[in-house]
Amino acid sequence: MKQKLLLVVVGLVAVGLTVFGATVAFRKDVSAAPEGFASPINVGCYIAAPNQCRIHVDPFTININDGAGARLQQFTLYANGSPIYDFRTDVSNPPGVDYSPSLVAQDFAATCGTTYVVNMIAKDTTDANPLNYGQTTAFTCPTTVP
Amino acid sequence: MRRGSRFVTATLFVVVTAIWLRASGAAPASAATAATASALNAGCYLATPTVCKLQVDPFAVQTFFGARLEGIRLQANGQTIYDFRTDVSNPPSGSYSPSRVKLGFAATCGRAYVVSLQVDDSSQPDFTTVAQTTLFTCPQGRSDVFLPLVTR
Repeated sequence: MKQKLLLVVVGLVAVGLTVFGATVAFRKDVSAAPEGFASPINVGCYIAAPNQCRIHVDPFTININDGAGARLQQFTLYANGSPIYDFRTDVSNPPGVDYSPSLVAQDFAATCGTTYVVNMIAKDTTDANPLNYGQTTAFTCPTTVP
Repeated sequence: MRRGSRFVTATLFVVVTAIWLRASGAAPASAATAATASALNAGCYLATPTVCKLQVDPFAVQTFFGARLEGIRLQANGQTIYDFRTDVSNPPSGSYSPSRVKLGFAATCGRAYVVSLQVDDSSQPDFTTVAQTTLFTCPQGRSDVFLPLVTR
């Protein structure tokens, strides 16, 4: 009886280890957490015309710590480390609550065939320096018109 | 004792088979949790007399059981026209509707297209086609012919 119980336990442990091992082996790695808080930064690149590609950024919200009286001062969008959108707030009346910037009218210029990572850096009045608020995984602009 | 060793052998066989199936890429269990999408509706129009554009109507992608959306690809005749990726630290889950691009997608006038939507979520190893249009044809653009004028 004891032997049967032991065998059942061994079998269950083996199955459990298999499931755990498969989960660990096939998971997709996630990078470090952002320093500030914003809704996810989701971005893509599309071909608008021959040799004309554009980066499109989905709407996002920057979370302001209104409990601490923080006010949003700036945010900047970067593509591969180069700024593509530098945004500043009102000097006398900066936003003190969560802020969702409007979408630009023509999307952002990009080079067809290039792979990009886009990240957003922002600063409020409680930050000593701008902080990274979100970043995409790499995506590639199309090369030719279908 | 014989029954016991048979049980251990059977258990080990199941374990090895599970590992082999997972490693070989066959994942019948995860197919049930693969992402889905709303209907994909698209067309082609004359943006100018000589330029055609693909227009894709808004759509929503749905992930299940806590799976996170990692990427979306729109393809025209199998060629990627829009490569979209999500936040590396906080990818969306559940229902997600990407916003529409501002300038539309380039297309060739007079050509027939099928537009398809591929999705990659954390429950799948790679992109999977989840929606597709039927065939449609871009209008025939006008080719402007310029005749040089020689004046004396």
